Amino acid sequence: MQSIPGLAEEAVIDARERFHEFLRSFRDRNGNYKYRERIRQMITMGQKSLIVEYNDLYIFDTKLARLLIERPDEVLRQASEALREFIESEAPEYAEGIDRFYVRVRALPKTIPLRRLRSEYIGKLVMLEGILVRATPIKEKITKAVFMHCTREQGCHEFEWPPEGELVGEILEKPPACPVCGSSSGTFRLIPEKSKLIDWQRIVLQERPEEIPPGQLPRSIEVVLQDELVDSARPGDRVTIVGVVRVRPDTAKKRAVYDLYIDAIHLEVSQKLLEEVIITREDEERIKALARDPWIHKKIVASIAPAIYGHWDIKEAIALALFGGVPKITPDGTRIRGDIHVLIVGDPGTAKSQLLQYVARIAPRGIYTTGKGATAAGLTAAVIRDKSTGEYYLEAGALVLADGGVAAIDEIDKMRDEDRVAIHEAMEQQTVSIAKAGIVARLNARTTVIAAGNPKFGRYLTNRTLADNINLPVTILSRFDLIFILKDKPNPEEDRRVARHILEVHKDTERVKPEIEPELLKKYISYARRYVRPRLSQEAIQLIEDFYVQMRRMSLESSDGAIPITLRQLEALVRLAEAHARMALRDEVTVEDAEAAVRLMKAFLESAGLDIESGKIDIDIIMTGKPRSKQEKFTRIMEIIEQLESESEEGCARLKEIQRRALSEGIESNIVDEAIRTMRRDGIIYEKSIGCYAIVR
Amino acid sequence: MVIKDSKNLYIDGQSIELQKGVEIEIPYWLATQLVKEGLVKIVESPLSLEDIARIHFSVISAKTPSDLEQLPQYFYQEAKTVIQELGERAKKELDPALLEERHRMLQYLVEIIDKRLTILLQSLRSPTSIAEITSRLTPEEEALLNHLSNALKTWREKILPRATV
Repeated sequence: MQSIPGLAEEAVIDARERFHEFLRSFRDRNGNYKYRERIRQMITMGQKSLIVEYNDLYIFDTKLARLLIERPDEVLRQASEALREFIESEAPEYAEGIDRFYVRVRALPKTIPLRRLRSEYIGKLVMLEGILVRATPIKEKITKAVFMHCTREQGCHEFEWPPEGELVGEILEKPPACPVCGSSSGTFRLIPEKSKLIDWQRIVLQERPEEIPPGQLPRSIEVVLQDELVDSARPGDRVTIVGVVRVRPDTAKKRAVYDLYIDAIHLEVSQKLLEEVIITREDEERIKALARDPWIHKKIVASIAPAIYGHWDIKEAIALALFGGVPKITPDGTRIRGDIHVLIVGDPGTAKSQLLQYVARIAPRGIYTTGKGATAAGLTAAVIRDKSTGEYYLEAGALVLADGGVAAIDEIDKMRDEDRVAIHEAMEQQTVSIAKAGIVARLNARTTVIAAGNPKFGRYLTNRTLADNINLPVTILSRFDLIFILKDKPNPEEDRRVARHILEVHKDTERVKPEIEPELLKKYISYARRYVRPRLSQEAIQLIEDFYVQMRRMSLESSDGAIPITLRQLEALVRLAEAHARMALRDEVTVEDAEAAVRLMKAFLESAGLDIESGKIDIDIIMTGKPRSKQEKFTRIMEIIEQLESESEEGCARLKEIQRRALSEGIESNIVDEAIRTMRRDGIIYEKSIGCYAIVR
Repeated sequence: MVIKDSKNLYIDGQSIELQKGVEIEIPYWLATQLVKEGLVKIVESPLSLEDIARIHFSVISAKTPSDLEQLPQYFYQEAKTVIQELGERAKKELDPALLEERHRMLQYLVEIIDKRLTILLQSLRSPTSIAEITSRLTPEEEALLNHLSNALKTWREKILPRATV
């Protein structure tokens, strides 16, 4: 930043007077005295801070405004004094009760990218944008210390330190000599109760994921919040901070190396979702023209990872997840999520990771991560201890950082145990709650999860259920709206087609040019998510309702009582239909949208929810991990054990006897073994003596 | 926005339909011409004092040609029109606030022009700087830079002795 020639010392001395004049006489476009009114409001609300638009000051006095950037400490101090003077004339009693008034400047004309913050900005006022990733609990910092000085000759006396007009900096230093008696001998004792303290909090601001150059680590900077600013933002929030760049030693040792940090004077949480994707008027025209294309759905799906051959259903599911349904808040405060979660379980080498990486690239606010996570916070959030300062921090994980966007999670089956617990809440309630080491917080995680995982046994075993095949509890599986299984089965015709596609791509990469350029698709998605809120039409409601009732009726008619669909899938159907309408920027969900949702849901149920024993669709495979048919067998085995237990003198049922009786009812021995294993694990039965089981009562 | 139905316009081989109530995107020069004929009105909000102040801030902060930022499309033309209109309004309404606003705008515009001219002249010293900043110039600035660059080239050729083999 350039220093301003011609800004003489007199300008600094003048700042207080000029600022007072600014508060008194600045008028907005409508001729209103903007800051006079704000000050009155401030007094009524009992606030200590006045928020000043930088541009207003710039128009009023360009030199003063530029001086504020160059020498913020001096100008802000004088501005604060001018504000006090102004308030004293308006409401003297109110001014008396407040120690310090703050002038908080917002909306500087230029944002400095975190990556370009260098020594040239030290001591200057800057504006930064980023994600708040960590926050310490609120602490109290001394601004004016009260010391007691005791000597044998003079006795004890108290005094304030540092002297009038100065405040305590980063480190509280003992006075070199007593300002009352002038002696440096004797004892100096700090009296914290009599000292003046203000609220203090340290946060870490990180570059937004979409700003990080490919292949580089995100940069971050510490920010100190004081007084009214503390606790005004939570980890995961996207914030704009105006503050003064300062330095402090990077370690406790006396090295000549310093770290930069920001002393914040204003903090603003960004309210609008996806505002970082800039859509110009020309973009809007192109987006609207695209939406008019009758083949828009096909074009969008074809533009998702065009280098990957086939997998149309999965690509369509991903496309719908990117657009998402409409989140709703009922008058009683219940939140119904609009995000569509998709899981892909597949054999190695089926392009799962490639699909996910592409998703992160085209999703506005997209984050690609693995189940293990790169940071200590993992997928949700964690309380961690800073090694150098020993302070506890709350750090946001991937799902919180991608709030309002999409988290592409690879190898979800390998996530940390802590995340396994917290992800339930993150996926359904869309918040992450944490209470550890004195930090209690609930962070927003309104994130669409598109995840991929490997089968537990290396390859997907078709003779086992989905829950058996993946190392994820059924409680997490049931939160996915759509689950797809990618099996790598040899098929000469299909193999030839795939091989030809891949070889052609190697020969000429131009062949996989997407129908819609990724950059435009990103803007299209962002536009749809921001402005399009489709509502269900009566015809669409009818179609979804009919499908739901019809599927449920199948459960009544079938002998083994397999349940093909539940209310969770009904909600998923609504989300899918809404997303389908959003894809064409339609404000109404039509029958066509509902049909597309039903078709995709059927594809999912046939792929993941098929009971391998009965050959019927059974949602219990996902919801409980066991098909209904197997559940009923388990219940019957339990009854047999109960029966045998009451009949026998030992008070337990012998394994051989259970197997014999079960076989007479058509239940095979391996099912009996599995049932006993599961029931023992779940604490339903116990082994009373070797090979003899009893029910826990 | 088209405010009156009219015959289609043919410009540079392209047809522009003038149908009442429809928003169309056309070059600034054409829009001002059609405004004069009472066929359209410009719906994009004109430059305000705040907009010019914001631009002034970033222009004044630039030190070298590499710091130069792109100005909004048609910036000079729009600023000139807005300042002229403000002057006329101030005369008509006898409002000192409008006069003050016009004065501020003009001051910012002069300083913006001065600063950008300095950078433009700096860049003339090296052909690489010219190439670097061309994409960030307005059409007026680009024309001026080309003109000056050609004049300098001719002047050099005339001053310097011809290369001998």
